[in-house]
Amino acid sequence: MSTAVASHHDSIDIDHDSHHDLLYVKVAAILAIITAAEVSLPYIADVEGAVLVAMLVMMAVKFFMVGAYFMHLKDDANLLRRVFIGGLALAGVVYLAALAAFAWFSDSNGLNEGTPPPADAPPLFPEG
Amino acid sequence: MTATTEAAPLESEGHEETPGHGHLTSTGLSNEKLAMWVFLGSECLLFGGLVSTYLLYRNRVPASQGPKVSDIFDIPFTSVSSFVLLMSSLTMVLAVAAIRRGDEHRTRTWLVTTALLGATFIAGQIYEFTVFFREGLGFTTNLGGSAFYGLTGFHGVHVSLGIVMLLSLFALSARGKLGPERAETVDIIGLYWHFVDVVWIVIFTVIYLIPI
Repeated sequence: MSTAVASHHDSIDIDHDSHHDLLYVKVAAILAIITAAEVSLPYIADVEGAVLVAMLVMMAVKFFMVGAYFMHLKDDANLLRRVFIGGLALAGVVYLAALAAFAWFSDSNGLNEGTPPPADAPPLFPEG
Repeated sequence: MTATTEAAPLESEGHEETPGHGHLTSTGLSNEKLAMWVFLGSECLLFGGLVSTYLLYRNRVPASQGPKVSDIFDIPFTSVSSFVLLMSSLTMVLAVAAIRRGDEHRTRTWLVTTALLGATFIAGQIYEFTVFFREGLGFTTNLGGSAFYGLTGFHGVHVSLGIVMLLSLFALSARGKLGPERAETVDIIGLYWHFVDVVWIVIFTVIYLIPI
């Protein structure tokens, strides 16, 4: 009787483990599909702004899927989630502020081609 | 007659035993795992700085100072590289799952597979750097190039260190020193590896794909 109960529990554990492994494979497949969509989007879509937003959204989805499922943030303690997202949010705020300070958003040097330095600009690293 | 009393286990006031460690922590969580998450949070600041530096400098390239980085990208090649790194995240999480259920053979298989996929990614990066150099974009050619090589080079170093850690885990496991009781060690290295992948997700989209 106890052997039957033990082997029943073992088979539940194996099913549970297989379920987890299958979930990871599914998540990886979804990530691969999103990556393929990201790569092909600029070649098939014309609307620049919409393509940009779509790519940023897909990037964010991939980021959070890896964090939630592969890094187990979904199931882990709140403190760990807060620590990571806190660092991420701080980095986002600081560097968006830095980009804004250098007029990256308002200046055409941001997302557009922009105005490069003049052709007679001195070399970056002088000879000798 | 003396009465022996056992100290009642400290409970929810944040003082709990962490499983598998046998010592108390004030958060109820493993100190090592918390330290890795704090480290990864700080790494967001490092890579955020490198990415924003590239974004600021990528277009500041006069025609006389070599090509712009975005002019010489090979997107299909880098897409394959990105896929390889993404799959290494899958094999890493499978390694963690395997060690948790005590399957040491599978753990070693997935660890070495992850390391090989990471090494393939690094080989791709090195090849890409040599192609860019032949196209006229060196580390000191222009500001955009310096920022690009700085960003992707730092990421490559992180991947390389991850490979060293994975191979160390493989060696420990091969010597019978990495059982299920040390699953958390594999989990923590796995967190580092997934973070390296997540950073590449951002780099690939922001640096490679969006400019095209």
